[in-house]
Amino acid sequence: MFSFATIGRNILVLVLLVIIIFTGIINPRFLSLQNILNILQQISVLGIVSIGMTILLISGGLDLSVGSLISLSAYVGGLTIVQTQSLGLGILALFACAVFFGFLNGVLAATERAHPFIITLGTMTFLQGVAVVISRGSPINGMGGLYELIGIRDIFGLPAPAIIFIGLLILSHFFLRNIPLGRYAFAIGGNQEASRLSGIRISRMKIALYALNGLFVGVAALVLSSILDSALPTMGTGYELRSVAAAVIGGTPLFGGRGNVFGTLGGVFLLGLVSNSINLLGISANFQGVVLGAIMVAAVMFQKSQ
Amino acid sequence: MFRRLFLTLLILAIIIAGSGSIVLAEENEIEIAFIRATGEPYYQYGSQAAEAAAKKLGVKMVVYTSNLDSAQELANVQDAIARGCDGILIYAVSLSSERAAVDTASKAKVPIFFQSGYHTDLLPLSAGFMDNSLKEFSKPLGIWMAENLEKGKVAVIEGALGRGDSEAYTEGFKEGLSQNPNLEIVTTISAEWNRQKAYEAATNIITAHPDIVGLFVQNEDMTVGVASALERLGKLEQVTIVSQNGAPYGLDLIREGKLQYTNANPPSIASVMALRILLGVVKGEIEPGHFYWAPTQLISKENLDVTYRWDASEEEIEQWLDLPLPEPVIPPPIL
Repeated sequence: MFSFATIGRNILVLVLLVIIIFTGIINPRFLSLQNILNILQQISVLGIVSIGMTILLISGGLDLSVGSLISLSAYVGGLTIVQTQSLGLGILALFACAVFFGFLNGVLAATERAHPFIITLGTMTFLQGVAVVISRGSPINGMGGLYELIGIRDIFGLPAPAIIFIGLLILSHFFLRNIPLGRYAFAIGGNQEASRLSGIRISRMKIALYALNGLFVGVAALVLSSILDSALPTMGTGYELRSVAAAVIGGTPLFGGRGNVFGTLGGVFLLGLVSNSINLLGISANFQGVVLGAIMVAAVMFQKSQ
Repeated sequence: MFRRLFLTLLILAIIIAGSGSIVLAEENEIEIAFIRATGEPYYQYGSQAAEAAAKKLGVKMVVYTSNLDSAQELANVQDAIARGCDGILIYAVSLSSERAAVDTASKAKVPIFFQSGYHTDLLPLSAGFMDNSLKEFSKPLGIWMAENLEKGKVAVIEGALGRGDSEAYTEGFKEGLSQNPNLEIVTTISAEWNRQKAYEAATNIITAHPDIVGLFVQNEDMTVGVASALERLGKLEQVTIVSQNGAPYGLDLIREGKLQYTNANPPSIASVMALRILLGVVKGEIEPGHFYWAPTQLISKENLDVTYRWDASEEEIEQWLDLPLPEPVIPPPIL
C-alpha cells in the first residue's frame, strides 16, 4: 500500500524540495496560489499520459506512439465535432480512435515478433503521417464546448484537467493493486515465462494493457484539446519521451516488473516544477535545456542509487 | 550516502550555475516576456534584437521557448503572468492555439502582442498582431520564377507539415508560378525545416527528375543543405533556387550565386517594432487591438545591401528606436 514513509525515503522528494525552496526564495511568486494552480494544470496532460506509460512499463511494454496518437485522436474528435456539431459524437470518435490504435499496438506487441520499442516507433510514424494526411496541415480552431467544459473550468477551486489527472491517478493505483489485470501487469513484467506457466494469458493481457493505455491517451487528447481549444496534427509531439522520463524518474524501471503511479507523479512534478521554476527565475532561454536535462539525469541517477 | 550527497550538490551546482542568468525585475521596472516558438535562428535573432532594444529602452526582458509545443506555450504565458510580467510578446507555435493564451492573458489583464498567427476573433482581445499573409509572402517567389524560367520542371521543399504554415507557403508559390503554364511542379517534399533532410530531399529530387530547373525551398537554413547537394551533384548551374528569410547565411548564398531570389522577413526589426508597440500599449499610449504588417523585402544579387539585417548591430537597433512605428491597418479576414 502507498505510504508517505515510502515517498519520504525517495530522494526525488528531496530534489523537489530543493527546487521549491530555491525558487521560492528567489521569486516568492513561485509559491503563490495562482502559480500552484498553473503547475497543476500544466502537468495534467503529461501526468495522464505518464500513468498509462507507467502501467505499460510495469508490464514490460512500451508505447512510443502516444504523442502521435494524442495528435490523431484529438484531430479526429475535433473534426467530428466540427462536421456533426455534436460534442458527444466528437468525444466518442476521439476515444474510439485512441482505444482502437492502443488495441492495435497491443495486438502487434502480443505477436512478440519485435520489441515494443520498434513496433510502436513504427506506429508512431504511421499515426503522425495519418494525422497530417487527414488534416492537410490545417488545425481545427474551436472544440465545441470542450474549452468551457474542461479547458478553463475550475472544480472545487482546482483546474478541471488537474482533477481528472488526480482522479485517474487514484483509480490507476487501485487498478494496479486490486484488479487482476493490474496485478498481472507486475507478473508479466517481472517474469513473462513464469506468468505464462502459471496460467496467465499473456497475449490477451498485453492487448488489454495497450488498449487501456490507449484510453489514457484518449483522456490526455481530450484534456489537451480542451485546454488549447484546438486540435493540431502535431500537438502531441514529445509526450512519448517525456512520459517515459516521468515514469523512470518516478522509479519505474524500463525493464518492467516494478513501479507505481505515485512515483510517476513525482517524476511528472519534477519535470513540471523545473520547467515552471526556470521560467519564473527568468533563466536564459538558451540555458533552460541545460538545466532541465541535467536535473533529469541527476534525478534518474538518484533513482538508480536507491 | 556520499553518492547521494554528491548528487545533491551536483544539482545545487547546476541550479546555482543557471542562476547566473537569472533575471528579476526591480520595483516599478517594466518587464516584458518574449515567448518564441523554438530556439531556431529566426527566433534567436528576433529575441536578441528585442533584448538589445529592451536594454536601451530601460525595460527588463525574459525569453521563453515553447519548443513547438502548444501546451508549453500556454505554460509559458501562465508563467510569465505568475512572474509578474507587464506584457507578453509572442511568436505563436501554431496558427490556431492562441485562444487559450489570449484568454489567460486577458484574465490577468496582461497585454499580449502576437508576432504571428493572426486570428480575426482574437484581435480585439490582444494588444495587437504583427503578421504577414503566408500565401502572399511566397507568391512573389512563384511569380519571379514564372517570369525568369522559360519552361521545365519545378520542385518544392517544404518545412514541417501539420502547422499550416508550410502548406500555405506552397499554395502561395503555386499561385504565383501558375502565371507561366510551361512550368510544372513535379514533386513536393517535406524536409521539416531541417538542413540535413533538405540535403537528402534535394538528392532524391535530382535522382527522380535530373532535368529539374527550379526549386522553391521554404527557408534558407534548408537552402544551405540543398545548395550543398546540388553542388555535389553538379547541378547548381542548372537549378534556380528561390527561398525565404533573408538570413545572414541566405544572403551569403545569394552573394555566391547559389540562391537567386528570396523574400526576407527580418525577425530583428519586426521584434523591435512589436516591442515598441507593446510598450506603448502597456503605458496606455497606444490603443490595443490593432493589426500591423510585418516588414518584408524581396532580395536578389542586385539589392544585397538589405534595409534590415537579421544580425543587426546594437547601433542599428538603436537607430530603429527612432524610426516611426508601423501604421495599423485593417487586415483581410483571412491572411
